[in-house]
Amino acid sequence: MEPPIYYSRAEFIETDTGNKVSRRATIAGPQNIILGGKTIISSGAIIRGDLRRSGPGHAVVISLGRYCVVVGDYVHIGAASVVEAATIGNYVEIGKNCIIGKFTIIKDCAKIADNTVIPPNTVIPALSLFSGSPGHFTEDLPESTQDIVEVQTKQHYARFQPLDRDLVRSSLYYVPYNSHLLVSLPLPMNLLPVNPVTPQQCRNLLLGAASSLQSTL
Amino acid sequence: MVSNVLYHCPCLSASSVPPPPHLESSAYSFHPLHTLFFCEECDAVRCNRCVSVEVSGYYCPNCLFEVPSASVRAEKNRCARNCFMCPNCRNTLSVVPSDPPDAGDGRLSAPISTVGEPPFFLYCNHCRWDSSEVGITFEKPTGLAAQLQKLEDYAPESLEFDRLKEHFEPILPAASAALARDIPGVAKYTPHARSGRPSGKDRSANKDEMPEYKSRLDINHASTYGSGGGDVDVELMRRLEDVSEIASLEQRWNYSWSTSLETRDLKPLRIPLHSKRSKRCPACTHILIKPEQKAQSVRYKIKLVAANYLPAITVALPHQIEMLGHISAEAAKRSTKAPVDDDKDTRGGLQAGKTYPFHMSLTNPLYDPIQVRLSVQRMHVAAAVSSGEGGTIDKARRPPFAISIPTTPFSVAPFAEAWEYEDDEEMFGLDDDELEARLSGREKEPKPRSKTVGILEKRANVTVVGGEVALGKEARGEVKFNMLVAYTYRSDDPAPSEGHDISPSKKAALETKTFAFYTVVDLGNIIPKEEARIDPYDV
Ligand SMILES: [Zn+2]
Ligand SMILES: [Zn+2]
Ligand SMILES: [Zn+2]
Ligand SMILES: [Zn+2]
Repeated sequence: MEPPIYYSRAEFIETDTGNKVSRRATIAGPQNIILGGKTIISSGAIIRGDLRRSGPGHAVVISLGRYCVVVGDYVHIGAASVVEAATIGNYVEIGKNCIIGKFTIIKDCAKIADNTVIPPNTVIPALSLFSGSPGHFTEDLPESTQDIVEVQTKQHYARFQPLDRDLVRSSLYYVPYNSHLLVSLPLPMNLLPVNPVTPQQCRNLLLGAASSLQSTL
Repeated sequence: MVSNVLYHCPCLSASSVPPPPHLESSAYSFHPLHTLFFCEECDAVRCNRCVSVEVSGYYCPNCLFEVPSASVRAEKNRCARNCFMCPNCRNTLSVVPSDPPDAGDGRLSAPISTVGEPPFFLYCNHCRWDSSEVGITFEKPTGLAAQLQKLEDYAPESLEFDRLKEHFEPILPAASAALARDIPGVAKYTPHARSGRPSGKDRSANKDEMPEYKSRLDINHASTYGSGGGDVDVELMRRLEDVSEIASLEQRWNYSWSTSLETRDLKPLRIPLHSKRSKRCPACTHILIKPEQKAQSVRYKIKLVAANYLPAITVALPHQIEMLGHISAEAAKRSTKAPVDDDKDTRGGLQAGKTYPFHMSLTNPLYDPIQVRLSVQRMHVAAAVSSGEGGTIDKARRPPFAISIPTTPFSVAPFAEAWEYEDDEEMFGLDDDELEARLSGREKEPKPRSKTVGILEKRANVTVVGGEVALGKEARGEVKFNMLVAYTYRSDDPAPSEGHDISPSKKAALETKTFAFYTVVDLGNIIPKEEARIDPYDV
């Protein structure tokens, strides 16, 4: 019995498979991103599919499973968290304002409390809660964690619903930088240099992402 | 949400009646449903405080290596591979070569272990501690624990521990046998074959007759090692420029008292192992939880959790839900991000002297329908009031609110796999009128509900019932009450001879069983009237 979370239809692109992607999220390298269905990518999220090993050929670098609010199935990543993990398992919960360092491995059903800083190269075992700065093992999670997370993420998806009226806004170019969602590829080295993103590029990325997401999903 | 429902575990207590919610002990007896277990044998709820626990496997939380239990003791419960903890901040250390990769090109370079020049050292990429500061370097980047073995074996704390063990050796077998008898799951102690102690010593030695233990290093001379509070420490403190030069108690916890106080002398720590555990019913020793062997598997061979037996109950106050939905709608309208969790506690609080409806939703996990009956536990305050001089204080303690909930039994439909949330999106919707009102900014008065107390809604395997809380004028504190939930279900327990010769009459007479459990319902805090009226100072 949680309250609904409303969004405006004008802001979100909905795909046939139930993905809801904010026009105000930044999606780089959409050809390298697969959304598993029923995934919500919120306003201000930045998803980087453009970080890949140099060289020819296409490879999927990010695959988001079902019921993700942005990497395995039933994964929830809180607002304003920066995630550069190498792998994230299923049923993982990452709180708000977290920093997850490069090459971090997060196993199934792990949970990271709000405001946690996980240094690079950390391994977070299955069913464990990490918190603090640097993040430490805090406690074992209950045996029914998987069931709880599944229900919660499904409920979150159900609560996330449109306000019926389309509302037109003029602030289309504005991309807030306070909330970043950054998923890097599971390749440890030889990343292509990261270019700074200008508002113009952001808009192009958004338009490109929107059309390619709609066509590929 | 502020409001919640917790479930009672009697923890083998003779009385199954829980303490009233205003007592401190209440918090220890009630737990979230998803942390509880259910023993079918005893037909009882069990919790993490009362189950008996057995280790079913060990693993390193960093390299995830599954350590055979045979080597756990020899390795002192810590990872014997390449995993070390920063002595300063407890982060996991990385192995880096002495010539770290050049970071001059503006890119962040992660430490790379298997390449580079020796000597190697351990480096913390959080606080930048590095093991060469304490004179620890390695010839090769693998088998670090073995390379440090000597250092560890001759550390004062391990020498002291060995001495203690030797001292108590004679009484260990008897003590361990007694422990194994009293606590199921504790393995009997088997002395190491390599133990140098001759077993010819008197085994029947009474522990009262134990000779006095003499520590390896005399505490009176500890100051010479830098931590006994003597002149050496005084001198150290005198020259101190920064508090962090002294290692905190937590940082020194694993060492003996004969170790230096200084932060710069701290040594890297091997990472303690984690364990997977099985859980048993404390009364009948049946297994309730049995994890799969593989360390990182999240599956269980046996998992008897209460959530699969008892109905799940959630509680909500409609006026708070309404308000939060409104905030979210406003945010979507203005296309700003909704302040999702902030201010939940202050807005939509409970005000003294008012009456509020609340909704409880019960979800049936069983494949059969259940009949549920709810009742509020009477709080025994009358006795307290009459107890002499403390009368006035106790009077104030009297529950300052009255709860009404439906008392007639109601049904909750069975769980079926088809009830999935995807078909259920209607459940959160606003109707068109409300939406119109919200978007145009002219809010209507909420429609008065025809009834507050009673069965409000039935859908899938969920029944929502309404209750009401009337707060007294002088009410303050938490609105919390104990509620007994009794549910009746069809039992297929007595099925004696399977298959043949079951008379049709037997089939018709369905066995029913009733199970009852206590919950504590917390509706949140009351904003006292005085405080609500007085404006904050920042007028
Ligand atoms: Zn218990
Ligand atoms: Zn290890
Ligand atoms: Zn450190
Ligand atoms: Zn039992």
